[in-house]
Amino acid sequence: MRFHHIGIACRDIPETLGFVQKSFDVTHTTDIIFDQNQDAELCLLTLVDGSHIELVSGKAVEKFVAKRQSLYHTCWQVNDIEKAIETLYENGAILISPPTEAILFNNRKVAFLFSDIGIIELLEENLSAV
Amino acid sequence: MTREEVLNTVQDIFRDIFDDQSLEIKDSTSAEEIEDWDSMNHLNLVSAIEKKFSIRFALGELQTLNNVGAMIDLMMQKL
Repeated sequence: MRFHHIGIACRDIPETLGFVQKSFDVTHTTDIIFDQNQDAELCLLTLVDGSHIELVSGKAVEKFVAKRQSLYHTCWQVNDIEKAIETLYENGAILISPPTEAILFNNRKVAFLFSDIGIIELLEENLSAV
Repeated sequence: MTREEVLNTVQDIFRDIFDDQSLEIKDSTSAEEIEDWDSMNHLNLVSAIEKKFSIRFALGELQTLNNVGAMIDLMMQKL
């Protein structure tokens, strides 16, 4: 597994985007898009060191926002998403949502699990993409 | 382990998760009665129960755990 990004729960993406763009060396910002599969608005920022921050708003994170809990998930790239889910399940993680295509990542598959380190997003590896 | 013993241990888990030592649960207790029983705390409950009782719930089973009674019934099948 290779770390890909952290997901930040936002009440309002443009507002949080302003803070991140002013505070960090952002080299690329995607459009704010709505992902029906996740029932969330999403925006991915790339920083100068190649790391990524995903801003998430909408129903999927409304409980986090209500509790003012910004850190929503950590995302990890994997070669085999089914095998990674199996390994995490065997280690005690709970599958929240099975693999589904993610529009923000050119329809690469993502899955979400609940674990001892919080919510984990698994992202199907694709070396030619972000 | 008897059903009552399981219920008592599950009650301790509820008290810990919801930070309320006076919380009393019964079979009919559901998310509608406990204000903080949201989807995240449901996952916290399931995870704590799995660890305490060394059992696992399958993905399809999680959606059937609508109240404490359903939870205990399913746990008794796995113990």
